[in-house]
Amino acid sequence: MTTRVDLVGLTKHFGSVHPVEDFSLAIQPGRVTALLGPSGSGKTTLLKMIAGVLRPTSGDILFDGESVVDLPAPERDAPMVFHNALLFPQLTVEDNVGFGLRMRKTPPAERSGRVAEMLELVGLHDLRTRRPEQLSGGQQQRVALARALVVSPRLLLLDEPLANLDPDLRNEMRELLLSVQRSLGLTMLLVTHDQEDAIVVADHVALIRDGSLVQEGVARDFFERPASAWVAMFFGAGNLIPGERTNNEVVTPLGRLRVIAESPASGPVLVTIRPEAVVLDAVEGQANTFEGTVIAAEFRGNHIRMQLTAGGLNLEATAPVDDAKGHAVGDTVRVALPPDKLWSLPAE
Amino acid sequence: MALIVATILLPLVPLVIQSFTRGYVFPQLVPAEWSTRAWSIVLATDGGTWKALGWSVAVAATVTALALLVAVPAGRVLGLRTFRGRRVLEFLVLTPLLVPAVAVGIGLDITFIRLGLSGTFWGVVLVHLIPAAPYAVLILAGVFANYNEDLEVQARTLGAGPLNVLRHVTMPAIMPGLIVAGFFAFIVSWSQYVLTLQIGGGKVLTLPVLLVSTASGGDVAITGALTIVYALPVLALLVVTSHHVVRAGLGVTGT
Amino acid sequence: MSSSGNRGLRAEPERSAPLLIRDYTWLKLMPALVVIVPLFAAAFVLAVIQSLGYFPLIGLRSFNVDAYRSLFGNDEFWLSLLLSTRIAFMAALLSTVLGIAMALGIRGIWHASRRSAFLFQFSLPIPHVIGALAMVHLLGQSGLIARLGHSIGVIDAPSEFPALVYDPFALGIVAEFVWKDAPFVAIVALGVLGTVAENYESVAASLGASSWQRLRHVTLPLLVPAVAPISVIVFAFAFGSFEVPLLLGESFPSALPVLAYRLHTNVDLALRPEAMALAVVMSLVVMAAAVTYLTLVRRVLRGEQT
Repeated sequence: MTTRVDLVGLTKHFGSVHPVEDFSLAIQPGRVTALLGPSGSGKTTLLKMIAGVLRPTSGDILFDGESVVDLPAPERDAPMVFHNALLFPQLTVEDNVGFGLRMRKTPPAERSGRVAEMLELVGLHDLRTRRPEQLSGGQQQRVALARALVVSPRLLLLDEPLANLDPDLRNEMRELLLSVQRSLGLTMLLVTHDQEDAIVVADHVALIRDGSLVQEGVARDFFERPASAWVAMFFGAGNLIPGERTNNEVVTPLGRLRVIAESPASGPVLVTIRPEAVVLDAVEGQANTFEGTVIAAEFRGNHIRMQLTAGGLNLEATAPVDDAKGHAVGDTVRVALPPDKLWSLPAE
Repeated sequence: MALIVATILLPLVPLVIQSFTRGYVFPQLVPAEWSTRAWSIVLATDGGTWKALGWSVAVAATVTALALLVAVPAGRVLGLRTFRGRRVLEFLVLTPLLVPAVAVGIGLDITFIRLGLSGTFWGVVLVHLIPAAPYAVLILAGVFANYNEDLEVQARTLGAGPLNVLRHVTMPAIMPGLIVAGFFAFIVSWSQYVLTLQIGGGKVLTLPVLLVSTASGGDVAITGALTIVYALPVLALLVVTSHHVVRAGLGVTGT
Repeated sequence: MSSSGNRGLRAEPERSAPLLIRDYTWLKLMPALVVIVPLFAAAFVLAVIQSLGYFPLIGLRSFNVDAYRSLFGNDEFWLSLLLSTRIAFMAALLSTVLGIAMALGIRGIWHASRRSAFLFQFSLPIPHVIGALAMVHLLGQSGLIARLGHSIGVIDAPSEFPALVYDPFALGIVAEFVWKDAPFVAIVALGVLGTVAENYESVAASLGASSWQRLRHVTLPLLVPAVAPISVIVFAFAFGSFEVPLLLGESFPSALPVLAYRLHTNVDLALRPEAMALAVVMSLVVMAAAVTYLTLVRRVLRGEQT
């Protein structure tokens, strides 16, 4: 089932607390959309409004163009999976998975068939008679997923489903989510505070801050074309260079820098570039070059993290681990910031 | 909510009203004559009230202290450890909550007389501990179930000795639970009537013993006033500890 | 507690260590066991021995079951047993049902307002002696409600007011226990009905459970493990309470604890073994009821499936 979901100006107020403010987003059918944001940014409140367990103060929620705001949660077919699994402690694995069907009064024969199918899908068929307390965290999470899938959801809502898992299990669960999504063609909304989860699992990412949408798009946009300095920092951009922009040039302490033409803002701006994009040994004729001094170099496993100082500013850059030139602390390097990687943002 | 609270408060209303009346008989709803006679009798310095209050406070305070003393280590073990025989121990500690007080009093009667505990302060304290200590153990076991022992290890590695660990780590962490457990031990002892009657043998005259014999005298004004004297200390205690009691959800989590 | 350092140094699986000796576990339980067990066990064992007719103090030295025979042959015993069981059952049932209903009704307000929470606990520390006296003056035939009835012209004389205390159905006694214990159950239930319970209910709703189904299949099963032990305590307390039936009950048949006290304080010392027998029987009845109930609860919870 592939359902398109539209959130239109969603707002939730609890007295003077406003966790969600005028939030609009189109969730594409059959795709994974990630709702990414720091804790306390209103993600879970949004999720609960979509599920129907919280009523929005204003705004609308459309499933395939039809408003569901007045539809109670049990009739929305939008099951939730929480980070702490929340398996019903008194029920066995298969009864947990069958819960939704039992509520719908599905005949037992059909129910056990569907339950078996879903347990097979998440790879837990052998544990079907266990109780929740006898399962590991990762297994509980998979049961919770099967429990949500068994009701043939129009939209699957996942609230930090990977948050409590160890790195190995986390990867396993990501793979499982992706394969389930592919085989069932589900519309999924994944709430997470972890950008890696969002990048790996989602087709489309919506970044939320203080209850409002800050930026949406494919994962790469957030790294290369952040909408604000806050977005750039959230994605670990590291380098923010203040300056004054006219046309495609920004006057900065590092000199005049050419930036991507379509990057927003003019006048006082911040220029940002990913550490990976900084070129350390510029060749003759490259644009945006200047001299810098290495003040730190740290081995980070698959790369070397470099700290440079130039024009009174600190810059971050990376170098390959087997960098033949072996830049050491105190060396002077010729730095280039490629104009097609330099993005300008409104100064805040 | 307002309705529930009203229902909870309602039964005490007549007692309060009648304590300020004289000749408050059926069918008076609003008393015909207001009076502080009962209060001046009950609060008279040479009356039995102050003595009974003294007995009650002394017994309940001693019971509370002893109950906490035995309950902290027991609660710690039951809250933090799983071991063979645990359920049996739990059962042993908790059965006194189930068995009727009268039965305990009957069983101990002869022994307490032999040991010279009958009719003494310590005899009453000991017998009050039977229902009071299990409550304290139960609540503290709940508290310790959520206690992280690594805090103590951490403190030790930072150079704290056993006493400092107790004072700066363990006690602050369990303080709310200790307050709730103490509150319950106190009210269990404070409310105890029949055990005091059986073991105290008319010599340890706590407030409830005085109150029941006063009530059978039939003076509703004096009964009312004495009731209030008996209720106020524990209500005051509730005011002080209420916050913790709510937070702990009574400390009783399912077993 | 000074052993904390040693404990910290031990290996990980210590939490399920089978041996009690390690870790001074026994030592730590000792104070509680020394106080509770000997006192309590002594009471029980002595009662059993004396009920079997071994009572040197009054010249009885042979073991026999005469006391039990005469107790079971006594009609008042059976009437009292029935009465006490009924009181305890009604008190536990009503307190549990009302307590849970109250908790469900006010869970929203509860976490918001501390003052209402305080008023709600008001009856918690009030001794049963006071509760019983309060019921006399509230529900009695010349009590506040009867007077209200008179002032609005429903009744003319106290005798026209229904007997709610000193009555054969023990309504006043049950009312006293419910007044004190329903809020107790509610507070425990409210402790469970926090954010976690809300999330469980949200998940169930999103899986298609209607509000009734959520209550039946999610909320109540979450409450039962916490509330069931409280129900047992309420039952046991109501069954064993002395002062409440003393102050609110009929003189015949009296509740079992009152009967036991009467037998025990009777000038006829020959009745002592019977009092002991009654103490033993009461204790066994309560424990059997508690074990049966908790086993039943566990089985019902486990059998939740289809």
